[in-house]
Amino acid sequence: MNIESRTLVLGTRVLVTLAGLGAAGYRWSAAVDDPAIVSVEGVALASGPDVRPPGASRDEAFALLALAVGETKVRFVQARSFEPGGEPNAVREMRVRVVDARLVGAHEK
Amino acid sequence: MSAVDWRNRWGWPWLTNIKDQGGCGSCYSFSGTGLVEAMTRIEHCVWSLRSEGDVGDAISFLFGAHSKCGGGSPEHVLQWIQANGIADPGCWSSPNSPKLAMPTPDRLGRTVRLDKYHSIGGPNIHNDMKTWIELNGPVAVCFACYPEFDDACKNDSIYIYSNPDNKPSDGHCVLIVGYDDAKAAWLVRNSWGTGWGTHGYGWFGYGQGEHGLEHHAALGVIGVWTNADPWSKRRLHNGNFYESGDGTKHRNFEVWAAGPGGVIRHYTQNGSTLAWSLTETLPEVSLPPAFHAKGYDCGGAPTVLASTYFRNYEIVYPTTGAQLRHMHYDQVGKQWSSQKPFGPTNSDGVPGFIQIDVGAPGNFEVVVRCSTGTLENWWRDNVGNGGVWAKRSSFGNGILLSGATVVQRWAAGGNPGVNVPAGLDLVCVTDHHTMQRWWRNDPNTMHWAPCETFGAHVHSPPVMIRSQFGATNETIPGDYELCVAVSGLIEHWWTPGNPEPTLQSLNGTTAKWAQIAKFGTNVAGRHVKQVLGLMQSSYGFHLELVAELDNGKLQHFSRDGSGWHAKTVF
Repeated sequence: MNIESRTLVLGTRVLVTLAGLGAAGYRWSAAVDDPAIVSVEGVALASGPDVRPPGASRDEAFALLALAVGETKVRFVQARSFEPGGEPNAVREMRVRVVDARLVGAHEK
Repeated sequence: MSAVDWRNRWGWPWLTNIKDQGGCGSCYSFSGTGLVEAMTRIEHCVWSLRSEGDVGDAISFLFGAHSKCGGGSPEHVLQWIQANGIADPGCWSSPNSPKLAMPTPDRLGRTVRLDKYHSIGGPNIHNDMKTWIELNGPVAVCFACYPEFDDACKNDSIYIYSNPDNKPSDGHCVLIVGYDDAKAAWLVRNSWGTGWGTHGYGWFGYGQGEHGLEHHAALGVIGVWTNADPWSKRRLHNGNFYESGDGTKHRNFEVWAAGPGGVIRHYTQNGSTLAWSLTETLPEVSLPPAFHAKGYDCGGAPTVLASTYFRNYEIVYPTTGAQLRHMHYDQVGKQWSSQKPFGPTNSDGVPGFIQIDVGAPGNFEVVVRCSTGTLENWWRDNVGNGGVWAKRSSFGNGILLSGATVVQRWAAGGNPGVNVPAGLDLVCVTDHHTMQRWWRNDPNTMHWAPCETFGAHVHSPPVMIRSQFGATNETIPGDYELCVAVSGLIEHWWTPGNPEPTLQSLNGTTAKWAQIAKFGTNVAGRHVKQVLGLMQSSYGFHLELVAELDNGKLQHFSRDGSGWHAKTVF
C-alpha cells in the first residue's frame, strides 16, 4: 500500500476528500495513531443540486487539525458498518507531520 | 389490511439468494436485473439467475461515459434488456468492479427476453404499487439513501427516516418484494449481501415523502412479458416435449412425434387458447447410402431440446437404418437442417439427448441402446471439433430399453471441497424388466457406473427430468421425476435430488425411488403404450406428459396439486 505523506502547519486545518461508496453501503472512517498531534473529524461537503444517477455516491471528507508538532499516521478505512470484521473495500494511510511555522521560517533563514 | 411476501408465497420460493454489489455503484443494475429474474421465476416457475454484469457492461457504454460502477438507472437497464435480453452469469460473468467481462459465444441462446416494462407513478402510486405487487410481483425503485440506512432494518425492524445530523443522501435502488399493512411498510430486497438488514431484506416504512419509496416512479414487469431461455429450462424437460418461448404468453408447448412413413410431425399447444394443432411435418432428409435421394427415415421416438445456439430446436431420432440422425431448426434462418446419420450401426432404442454445461456452446451428449443389449454414449464437442459426433464409451449389458432419461447434475463435481458428485444420470430398462439408474462420474473418470434398480414389469422406455421440487433456491438440485408406461398405465416415480445421490458402491446408492402415482388415459378402451415426453411447465409447477396410446394417437397429461389429469388427445 502506498502511504501518502503530508505536512501540516501547527494550528491549521486541511480537508481530505475520499471517493464515496455510500450507495453500496460503504463509509469511510478514520483513526489516528497519536490523537495528540492530529485530530480528524468527518465534515459534510457543500451539496449542490444532485445530478448523479442512483448508485453514484458522494465523496466523503475529513478535516485534519494539526494540534501539536510531531509525526503520526492517519488510517482511513472504507467498510460496511453492518459487516463487522468484514473485508474493507479500501484502505488509505497517510503519514502526517506537523511543524511549527515559526521554526520552519527560522530554519529557512 | 393485507400483506404480500414474495420470498415465500403459496408455499414456493420466488426470489434468488441475496446478492452483493460489493464496492461497485451498480445497485441500479441489481434492481433492474432482480426484477427480470423474479418475474421470470414467477411466470415460468424456473430459477433463472441473471448477470448484472451483462447489462452493466453495456450500460457503461450506452448510457454514460462512466463505468457500470458509477451509477445508472433501472429504467435504462430494462430498456437494454428489452432490446438485447439478459444472460446468465455462466455466460457473462459479473465482477463487482469496472472491469468488463466477455460473454461466451452462445449468449443469444442464453438470454431471458423481455417484451416491455411498466412505470408506476402519479398521485395513486402507493395503492398502485401495492396492487401491482399483489397481482404481478416485485417492483424496482430508487430512493434517497442516507447513512442511517446502513444499519437499518435489523431483526425485522422498520426503517423510518430521521437523519438527525442532516447528512446528505446518495441515490440507491432496490427491489420491493412485498408489503405489510400491519407494519405499514414495504419489504425491500437490498443488494448489500446478507449482512445488511435482516438477512439482506428490510422493512421500509410507507410514505415518508421525499425520503420514501413512493417519491419516484416504480418499475414493474408482468410475468408474460418475460421469455425464459432454454438454458435455464434444460433440466425441466426430456423426450419429445418442450415449452418454448413462442406465443404471446411465451409458454407454447411443442411436441415432435414419429408419424407414418418415417415422418416427424411437430404439434403445438397455443399458450393462450390451449388448443393443440399440427404445426408442420419436418422436411425430407438425404438418405443413405449415397445421400442423393430424399425421404423420411424416422424409426422411433425422437428426443428434442432447445439449445444455446439461438434457441434452436435440436432433434436426435432413431433412423429406419438402425442409426441416429440429428436435425436442428435454425431460429434465425427459420428452417430445418439435417446431418448424416451417426452413432452405433445397431442402434435400437430411444436416445437420451442433452446439452451439458461443458464448453460453450455446451456439448451434446447422447446415450442409446444397441441391439446387443449394451448402451453407447456419443457426444458432440461443440467447441473443439466442428460439430462432429464421436463415440465416447460403451457400457452395460442386458439392457432391454434406453429412454429419454439423460440428465445433468447441478454441482461442478469432483471438487473435494464440495463433495457432491456431479456428472450425468440416466435410467434404462433391464432385461429383467426393472429400471436401473446409471451415473457418469464427471469430470473425473467419465465412466458410467450402475446404480440402484427399481420398478417391475417394465416393457417401455422411461422419461426422466430434474424438477423444481426440492430446489428451494437456485443452487439446490431438484428432485428426479420419472414416468414410464407399465401394463397400459403410467407410473410416476421420484427420488430426492438434494443431496445428489452418492455412490456407495458399484451396486448401490443412497437413492430411494418411490412410486407416487399410477394413472392412465381417459379414452375408452385405450391404453398407454409409451411415455414420450415429460416436463415441468410454467403453469404453476405442473408436470406435463405426452404419451402414445395403443391406437397411435398422442395424449397430453398434466399434474397439478390434486394429481394427474388426462387432457387432450391429438
